[in-house]
Amino acid sequence: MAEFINPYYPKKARIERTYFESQDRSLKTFDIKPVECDVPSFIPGQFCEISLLGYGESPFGIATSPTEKEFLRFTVNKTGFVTSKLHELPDGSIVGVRGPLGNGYPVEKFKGHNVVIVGGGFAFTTLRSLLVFMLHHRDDFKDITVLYGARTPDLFLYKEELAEWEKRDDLNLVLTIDKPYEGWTKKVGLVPPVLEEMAPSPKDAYAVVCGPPIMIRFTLPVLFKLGFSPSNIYTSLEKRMKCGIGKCGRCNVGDKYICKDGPVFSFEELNNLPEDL
Amino acid sequence: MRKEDVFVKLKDMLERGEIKGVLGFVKTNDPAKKKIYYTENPEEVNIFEITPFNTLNPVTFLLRLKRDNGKIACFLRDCEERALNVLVSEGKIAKDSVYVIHVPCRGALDTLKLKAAYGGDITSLDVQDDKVVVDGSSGRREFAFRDFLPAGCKNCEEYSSHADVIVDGDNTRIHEDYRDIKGFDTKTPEEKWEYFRKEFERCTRCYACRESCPMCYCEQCFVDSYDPLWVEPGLSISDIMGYHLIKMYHMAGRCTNCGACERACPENIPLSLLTTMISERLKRDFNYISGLKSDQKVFLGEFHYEDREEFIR
Amino acid sequence: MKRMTFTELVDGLSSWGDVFVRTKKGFEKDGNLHKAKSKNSPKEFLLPREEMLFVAYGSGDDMRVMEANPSKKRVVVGALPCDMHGLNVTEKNFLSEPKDPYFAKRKDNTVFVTELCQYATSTCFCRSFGIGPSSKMGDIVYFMLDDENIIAEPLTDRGRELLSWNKYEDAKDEDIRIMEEKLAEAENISQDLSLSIDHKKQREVYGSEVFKEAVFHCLNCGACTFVCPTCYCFDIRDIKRKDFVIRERMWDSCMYFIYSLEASGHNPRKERFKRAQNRVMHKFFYQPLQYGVYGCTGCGRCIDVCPAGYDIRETVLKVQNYLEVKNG
Repeated sequence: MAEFINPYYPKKARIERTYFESQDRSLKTFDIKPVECDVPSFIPGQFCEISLLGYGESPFGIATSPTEKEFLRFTVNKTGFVTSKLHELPDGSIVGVRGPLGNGYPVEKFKGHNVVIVGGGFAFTTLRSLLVFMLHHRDDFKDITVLYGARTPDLFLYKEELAEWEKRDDLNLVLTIDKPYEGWTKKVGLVPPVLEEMAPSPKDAYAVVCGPPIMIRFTLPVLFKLGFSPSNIYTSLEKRMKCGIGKCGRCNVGDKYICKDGPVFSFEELNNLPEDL
Repeated sequence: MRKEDVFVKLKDMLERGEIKGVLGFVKTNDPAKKKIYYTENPEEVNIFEITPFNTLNPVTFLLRLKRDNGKIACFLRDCEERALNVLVSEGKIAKDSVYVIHVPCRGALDTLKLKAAYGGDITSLDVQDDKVVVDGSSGRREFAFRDFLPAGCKNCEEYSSHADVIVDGDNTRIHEDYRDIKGFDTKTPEEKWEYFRKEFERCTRCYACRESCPMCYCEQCFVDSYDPLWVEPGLSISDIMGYHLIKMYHMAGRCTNCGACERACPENIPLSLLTTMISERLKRDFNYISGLKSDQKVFLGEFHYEDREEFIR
Repeated sequence: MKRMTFTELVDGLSSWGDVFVRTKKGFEKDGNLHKAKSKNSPKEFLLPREEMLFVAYGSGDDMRVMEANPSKKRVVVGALPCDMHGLNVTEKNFLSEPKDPYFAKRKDNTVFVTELCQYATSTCFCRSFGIGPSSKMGDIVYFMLDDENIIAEPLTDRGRELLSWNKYEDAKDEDIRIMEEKLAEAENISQDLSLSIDHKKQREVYGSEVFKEAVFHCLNCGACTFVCPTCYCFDIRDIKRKDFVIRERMWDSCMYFIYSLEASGHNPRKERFKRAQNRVMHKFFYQPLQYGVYGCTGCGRCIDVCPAGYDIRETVLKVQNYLEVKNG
């Protein structure tokens, strides 16, 4: 054994539970617990590299809050080689975990402010982490507003929790789907117009926007129109990653590495970087 | 037509809008290296060069240009025009989107190999009959022209150009009737393997051969696939050979032996020997020469009901 | 400086570890010194083409993992100032937090003996980056007086300990004069591009026409990235065998389509020019912003190796000029 801490070395972890989030079985949630150590401390918005030896590694945002110390939760969208293999793993399997990696949301900055969370599709993972964290330290934050959009009701993540949160009176949660759907009695409409209708105040407020690029593109003008400044709007970026620690070179946007300097950036920061996304 | 007259014609055509742009080679700081250049400016047409040191195949770059509104004029040798024909027959390029300027060629020199043999800064180089005369920091030296030709250039097939305009010049093709290949065929399988193992050991998998090839236009190459993983990454000889041999399969009946892959190889691996071998077999066994016409049937892309082999039906 | 023969130097160093000497190809074990730039840079001594990170045996709870421990002691003789500067630049990436243990270990186990450069060619432009043929770097530095005689001096404690320096006579005034003359000659040949790029303007040049035109003739092969002393991008892959799995890293190149291809099929650098652009921007914009130093050392290897006649100097000067004109 080498005497230094090797950042490439994954820690053993066991898949405690898995369940599909959607009926089309493209989204699967994994609750993972490290075997040889405790769940590491982290900041909402950070991610881990999950490795399946023999197949490779992929980065996933941590969906649990640092306040939930039992396990780490990841929701995996089946798109590529590693994610397909991960989906096939039975409960109890051992995987490798490296992390937490990246910077995370500036939660200290958010304290004492209103926070508006705008999420779309399966990008809600780290937003869940942020939301649970804020609800746990509810007194540290002022108004919390959440707008969460999905294509169909089936594609919402964490449906049971969403139902719980909807009942809370210290949280304004709005769920919306793109098009009318049989049995859906809540909001219908794309995220940007619904947000415009909700018109959260920019005063003393930070906004966090995560979702598909197209949603972000159309949500930003709405936030600007409402009076949010680029320095008060944060997002979490994604790109092909390998090392996760800013060494291997591929996830750069300008002089910033998404894995090390990100994945969370304010739009003020992004405005100074090339549009290499 | 004289070169100067061709330039006048091109300038005129650009000004009238009959062609959109011109693609060809221009000089660089290094006399031994020419670079591909595309211009739409009529004043620039006379900077194009026609030399044996134009190493790459312009058709490769033609594929990278937008070819939708207007013709692109392109300086092409016989083999390069044949490559264009193959791409037309494969439906990759529209025939009327290219204005072909045929350029004379006696063989295209492997300048990287020449530079390595000379070993110093080259200030001037000149072809005199069967000699290449090089001047530079290591003094004046002469090399045999033939020694720096890829195998393909030594077995250049007869081709009557369908070009729109033909530039005057010496177009004496070298055709040694696949002498090298026939000689190579007398080796034992072990000797052949040993020869190629030694040559391919130098491969760094930089993929210059792939990127310089007009036939390698796949958006995603088979070596870039994780699932299925056709060839493992890395530099073990079996992986290197895996890449090159599968690539060669894809060349069969399509490659026109322009030799750009070999001239592009920074390690001077004789790739053209393999492509020439394919050409020789095709000619010998099937009487097929690729890219003679733009409406020629693709070698591995058709079948006949009277084909003897069962599997094809 | 002390006077000795090249053989004495190499023999003296062989007690520390395997000696690799600059050859035409790269740096080869017990090779014969090639009196010119080598084709490959010595970066592979700190970042090998393929490097095992660890090997895992068994599966599930019984899985055992063994980390690689690159402990071989080696001496690299004949790295030129541009090569050494390249390693110093690369080090900023690997030794910034979190430290790369493999790189660090290899660095500790490798002695660099650099040669003052009298081999400048028309593709050299090291003087653009605050170094030059006479820059002294590494553990020991030497100068070739002729085919065998050298003058050398240690630069670090390790360099001082490696040889019994007192054994050798001092360099003669004549030796120093020859050295200075030769190095001045080389200084004259190596170009100074007088760079004054405003790195913060990265967004302005990204995707601009000037880039599109400047890199049109680039093939997007990876030849330049492999010979470059500062290109360090790597890929991590698992090699699966019957009883074990090796996780290894290997050189990668930003020139490749697959380098930035995401699992969703989206590729931010789908267009070829964006990939060629990334290499230039990484060296001339991103690395200066990250580490305050250009990611290019002016060794000219990329120009030498390029099959397409691409010259990075042209692109950089065009981009610099574009920024100057644009911003008055």
